Amino acid sequence: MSNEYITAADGPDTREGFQRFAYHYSQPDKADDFPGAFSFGDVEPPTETDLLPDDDIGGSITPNIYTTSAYEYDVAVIGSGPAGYTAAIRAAKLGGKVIMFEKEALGGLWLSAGCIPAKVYLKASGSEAPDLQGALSFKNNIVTKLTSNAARMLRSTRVRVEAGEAVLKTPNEIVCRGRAYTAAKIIVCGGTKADGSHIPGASHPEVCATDAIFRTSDLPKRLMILGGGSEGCELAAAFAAFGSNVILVETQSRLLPGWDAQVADAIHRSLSDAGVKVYTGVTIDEISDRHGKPYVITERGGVLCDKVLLATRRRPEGSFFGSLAGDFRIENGAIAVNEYLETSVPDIYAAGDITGLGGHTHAAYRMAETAAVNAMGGKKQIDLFATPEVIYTRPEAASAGMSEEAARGRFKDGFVVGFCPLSENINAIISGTPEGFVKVLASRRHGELLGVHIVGANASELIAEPAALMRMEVTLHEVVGEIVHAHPTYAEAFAAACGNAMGSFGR
Amino acid sequence: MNDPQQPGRLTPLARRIAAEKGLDARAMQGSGYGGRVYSYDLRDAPASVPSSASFPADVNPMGQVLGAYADTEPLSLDAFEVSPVPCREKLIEFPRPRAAHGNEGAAVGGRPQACGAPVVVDAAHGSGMISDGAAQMAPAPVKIQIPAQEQAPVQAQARMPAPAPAMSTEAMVAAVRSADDEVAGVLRMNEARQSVAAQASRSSRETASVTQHMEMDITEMLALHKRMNENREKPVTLPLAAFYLKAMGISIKDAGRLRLRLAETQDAFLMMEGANIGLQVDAGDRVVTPVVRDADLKTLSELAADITALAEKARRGDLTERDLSGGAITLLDKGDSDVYAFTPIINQPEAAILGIGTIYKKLVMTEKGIENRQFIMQSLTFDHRILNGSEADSFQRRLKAVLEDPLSLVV
Repeated sequence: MSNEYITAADGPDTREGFQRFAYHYSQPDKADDFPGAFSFGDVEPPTETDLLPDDDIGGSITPNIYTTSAYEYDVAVIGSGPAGYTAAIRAAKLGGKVIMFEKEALGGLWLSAGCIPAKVYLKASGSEAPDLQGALSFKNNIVTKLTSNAARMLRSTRVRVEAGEAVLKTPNEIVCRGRAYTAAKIIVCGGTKADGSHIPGASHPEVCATDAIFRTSDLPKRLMILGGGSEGCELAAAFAAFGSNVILVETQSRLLPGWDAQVADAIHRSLSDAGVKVYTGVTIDEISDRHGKPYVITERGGVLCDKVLLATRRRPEGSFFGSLAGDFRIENGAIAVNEYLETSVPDIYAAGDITGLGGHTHAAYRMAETAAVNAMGGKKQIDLFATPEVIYTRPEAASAGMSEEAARGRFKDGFVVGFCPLSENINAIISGTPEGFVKVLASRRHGELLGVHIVGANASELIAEPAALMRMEVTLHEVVGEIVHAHPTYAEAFAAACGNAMGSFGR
Repeated sequence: MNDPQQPGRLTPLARRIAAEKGLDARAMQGSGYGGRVYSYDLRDAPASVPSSASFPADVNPMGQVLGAYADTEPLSLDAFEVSPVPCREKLIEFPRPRAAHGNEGAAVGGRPQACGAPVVVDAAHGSGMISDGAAQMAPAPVKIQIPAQEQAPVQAQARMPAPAPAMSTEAMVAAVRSADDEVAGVLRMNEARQSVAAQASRSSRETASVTQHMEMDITEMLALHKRMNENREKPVTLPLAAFYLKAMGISIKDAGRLRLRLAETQDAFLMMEGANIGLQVDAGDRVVTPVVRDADLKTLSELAADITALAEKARRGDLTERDLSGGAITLLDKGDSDVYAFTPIINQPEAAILGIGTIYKKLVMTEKGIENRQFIMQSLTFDHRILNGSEADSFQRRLKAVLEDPLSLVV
């Protein structure tokens, strides 16, 4: 095996570790020296399809069908975030010969700026004396562990990993650092990046995106967060706990557009209680410079800040488009895909938030599985119904399915709402966390769950049950009449909300 | 998963939709793992048994034909309380496969479900209607004749549940049979039954009801009643109910709290004008409660005329909205039965309902020695949210006093 894709470790922090990994990976005899990686010795390459007996992939998988043709690889994956590495591993397990390209750090935004750092910061901000430095080193430890886990999985499935920026030349050819690689199918999992182009002055050095804020070790005294989506709310909560003065600005009339209004209200209140100044319905006119610090001019006046965080809209990371830039159909700032995750370019699939189908890691996993199966000859449709959405604030918020507003638009009066405040849940009372609620929307006709919204201490864990029940089409009748919940638990609040929706129980 | 009999092969939602559409779930192949059937596998499936074909009555009162699954159809919450399926009452008897030895061979050749296919006995037409071609192999069912009830007019007072998608009878039969083979048949509720059920269960659920019985010596009242009826020139007899209404009118005027009802907001009481008393009439599967107004101000003859007029209107089905509304309390007179005491259900939103039992005799010790006296039991069910026990007591004592000394009824 050649080592032609080894480069000097000249990148910033995590990139260095990744490139060391790429180097060692390329030389099997040294692979076990890779620090942090578990050694599995030599792993036999998969000889036949690694399918579960009842695994339904909607088609037939023929391993290595493409490599008999003119292509070097069956599948090439661009990007190593949750979508990228999952797609690569899945395709390899299906018997494909797979190569994966990553220009920065293994793990993508998932590790550098997504839910992992957000969850870590939430955990850190809940300690007795929350501090940013502690949170940062805690996060870096976690990220190192996760990176090595991902690396181990890639190694054991014999995915070849390339460090460097991949650029598409043709639908079957990728150029990376001067060498061309051909593949029968390509899955682009390039992710997205914060887009501040609609705000004049967003190029100010103290205006940063989420990946940069998670590298910051100096606590900004005055932090303005632009964008009241889940990302903005999470970081507002974390930095307020660390001691920043946080201003959260949302251009729409309320926080968390798209979420259920009651959840948005609760999060708004909890952020205000935590000292975050929340402004909604405010547009940003410009960011100007005052003695090296960003001065944000809004329609309600100007604010001098130490740092401004862009948590507004995102656009696809399009650096790999290359000569195919004009061929990809872009809709609403995302690469358009059909239900098989095929892009407008033949032989190219997309997965992850670049598709605009969902920004969460778990949605990316689901998409990557589907794209990999289809790239290997399957015919599987993507269905992200009841994918949980989670916000790591204090208390947490989680939801699956549609909001009450969406349900009203679609079902008019044909749905019922059940509600259980956690102040009526015995475990919440015992645990001293009576803030929050469980809200259930179900159709009147058959009682199927349309949406479940939870605010509370364990919302992100609690959403698992309703999300699973929604996927399996369990109705209120079974939740109330058949399923037993342990007592006293938070989970009972969901059952109580369902009972409330049924109208059979008083509360 | 591939065993078609295995529970869980259909998702719970798919099971409901299949039952509603009358689809045979056993033959289905879904899109899930191992052919698990999801709701979306059924979205485009036509209903195998169009409900209008065998059940012309399956048209809801709004005039819509209950059709295929459409999840956007607005429905009422009442769908969870009762299944408001407006159709005629009829029993669907399940044939007993074991009894039909001659058919076992046929069942082996055909699919097993043929053996137990439900046969619908349509009471309205009086003929057995076979719901499915395979059912021809089924043994002849025991034919049950149930007289079809007349379609009751919508009573303003009966809280009429909004139309809901009805499960076709075949579908219900199939669902019940697959769930519980101990069930021998399905008798669908008609509109009137459903309305009574909904009202009764709502009252039981929402009110904090207490029932108190108090014995009343009505020997004097019966003597008065006898004399008044004997002396009347017109051939109209005074019913005993007129005496009860009058006595109740006087008593609720004195015990004002009996005229209260609970406001919708549950934070106020509303005082009703006048001593208006509902007279609950149990007519087969229908219950109507026309209201006699100002019972305290009317004479016994006027009350008797009111009762006759309302009864006539109820029989013809022309009770107006006004005839059915504005009651402060309801009287349920079971004097013609052998019932001694009972616990009537409050006619919401009223505060109380008075039940009168049958007349009975017993020997009692009086100043004159041992006498044979006649008694009735008054059973007052009251809503404890509105009345305290002592307030109910004072009403009952007042009523007892009036009926035991009946002169106040005629002055």
